[in-house]
Amino acid sequence: MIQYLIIAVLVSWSAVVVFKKVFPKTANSVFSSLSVFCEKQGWTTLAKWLKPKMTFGCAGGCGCSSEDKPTNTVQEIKPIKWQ
Amino acid sequence: MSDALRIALVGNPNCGKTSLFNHLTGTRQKVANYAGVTVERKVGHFQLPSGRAVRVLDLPGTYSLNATSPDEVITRDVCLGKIAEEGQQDAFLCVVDATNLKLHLGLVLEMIGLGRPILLVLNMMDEARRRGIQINTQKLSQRLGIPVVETVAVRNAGIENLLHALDQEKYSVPQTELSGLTGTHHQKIDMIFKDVVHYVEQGDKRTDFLDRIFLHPVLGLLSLALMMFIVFQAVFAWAAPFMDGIEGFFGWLGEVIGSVITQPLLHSLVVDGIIAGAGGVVVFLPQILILFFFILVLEESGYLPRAAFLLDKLMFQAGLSGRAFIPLLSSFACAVPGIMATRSISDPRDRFTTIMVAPLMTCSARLPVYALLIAAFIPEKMVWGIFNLQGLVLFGLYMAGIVSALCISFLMKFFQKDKSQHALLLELPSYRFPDLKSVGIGLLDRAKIFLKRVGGIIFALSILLWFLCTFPQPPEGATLPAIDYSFAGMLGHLIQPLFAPIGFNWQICIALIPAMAAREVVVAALGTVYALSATSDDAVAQGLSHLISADGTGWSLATGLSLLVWFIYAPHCLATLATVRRETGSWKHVAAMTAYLFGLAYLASFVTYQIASHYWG
Repeated sequence: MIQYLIIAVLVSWSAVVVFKKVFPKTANSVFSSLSVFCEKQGWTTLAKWLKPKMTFGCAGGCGCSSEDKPTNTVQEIKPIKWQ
Repeated sequence: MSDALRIALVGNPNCGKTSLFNHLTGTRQKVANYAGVTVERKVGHFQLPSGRAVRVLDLPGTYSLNATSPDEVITRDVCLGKIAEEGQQDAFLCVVDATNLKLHLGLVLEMIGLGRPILLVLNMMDEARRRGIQINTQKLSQRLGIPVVETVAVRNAGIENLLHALDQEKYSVPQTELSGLTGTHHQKIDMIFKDVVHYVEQGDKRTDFLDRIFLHPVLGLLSLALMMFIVFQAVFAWAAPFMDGIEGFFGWLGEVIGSVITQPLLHSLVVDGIIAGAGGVVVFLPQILILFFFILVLEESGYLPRAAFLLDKLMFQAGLSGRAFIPLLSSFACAVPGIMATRSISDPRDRFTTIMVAPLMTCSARLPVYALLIAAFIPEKMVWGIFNLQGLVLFGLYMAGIVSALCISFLMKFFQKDKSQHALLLELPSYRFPDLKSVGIGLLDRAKIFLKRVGGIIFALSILLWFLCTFPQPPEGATLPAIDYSFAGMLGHLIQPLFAPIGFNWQICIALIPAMAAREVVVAALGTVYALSATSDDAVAQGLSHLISADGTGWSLATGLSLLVWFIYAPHCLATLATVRRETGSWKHVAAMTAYLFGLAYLASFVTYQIASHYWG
């Protein structure tokens, strides 16, 4: 029974990680909605945990992972439009 | 942070703005010894000795405020106060290269003309002194009517003085009307330059000597080919002992952990899913680090713009602008920053062509795939007594990507109505000895990025793939291997007929699906699929390379070569496609790129498979 529980937890976690990486925008809006819902219910800790974190770098590229939190507080500003 | 001092770093390309930014903020933004590394503004924070907070903005380099490319537009708009959130800069730090003062004074005079508070940062003073260039900074300050601070940003020298100058608010609005100088912009620069630079040695002897070799029409191309060749030989020759060590470690780890876990499903998840999957990708870390060691050394040395100069004629004939060299070079690390670097190309048509061919450059994510297949199917032997055959094949794969990019851009040029050409204007920086600390930090960053990917997306996908390869469990009395009854097995068998003409079996078909997230996932996916299909633990312990090349159960040589060729072209990277959408603002362009790259991959793999099958079976 315990092995099924561990497998279920690992597979669920993996599904969330892959969902966030492959569909970052959709994942962002889904987790934002969940966070707002939890906050309305008064589950502030859960809401804070679910709230999407700001991503850095170029979001999942091989050169600059979105998980790479820059030291101190560098923020990359939104890209320019096609001229 | 509302009372924080707001400053912006402005200057010509490759004058050391980002080095200064890194030293001020303690960050590790990418720096290199060529123009166009920074293509977007970046914000950082630090504190002055007095405790006052500072918000610093690093801007892309520009030669003038008359912007011609998208990255220069950002700098112009910030300087002119056209960007609302950046409109209130307390001071502009005008960073200039002391060894190239005459050129850099042009932008300084334009900035002075704006009437905003300015502090001039005279950077690279060590290099200027080495060349015998003596600059009277006091006179320069008087002439320009703004304070001047000397720095050597790459060595962290002079930063204290700069911090004190900021603390004492030494930046000022120019008051002197350039000390009454008259004449054109260039005449003013000439007058200031003659007045403040007391002695200039005729050129940089080291740079002149090296340029006689590296920019020579024949010797230059020969040295470029030799350098590339050495890099790819080293990737295979030097990495082998480290890779064997890592492979041995994961084999041992699998045995130790496997003996501890008694539950069969959990044992399979850890040994066949995680260790055989994600662990199998870590093996390629030494090769990636060796490749990046050479790239970082070349970036730091100032050689790369020379390579752009050498290849300009070829790129020109293929319909690419010479400015495309740096973005394409960045794409060897990853297509995402490479595509973003096309912002330094002013012509939209040239920029679009460069974006469309950038994914053909062999990114570091392809290296584990190539290394696995080469190790499995190409014998480790010497050619003519000096060349490693595996290194030669890797070199060939990189060249295939480059040649394909040139052919595609030539075809695009052929179908474009506007066939006008744009000449390459590229500043050649002085050669510098690579800073070992910078190279070390760069390698450490690459290793962290790679291991984070293995521990993140690759680890997660390995678990998901193991789940899909394990469930549902086989029915009672099943005769086929368990994986054949799983979701992944059924899907693999379903799509395999589509890939049969290019020689892919159902295991490869399964691995290609999660590889859409990132190319190297295909290695982890194959590791998991083959570990679950293997008949014994001994076979798994021998590694994926042995499993896929085993006699009878492994792939044919034709299949191995076909998969190698597939990965030259196939756009297995969703992050790249998302970046193309962001940079071009059009899904149509993304669709066109995906279609042509997959089409090319299928066609090239088909030809390779058919020819290889015909000759080698």
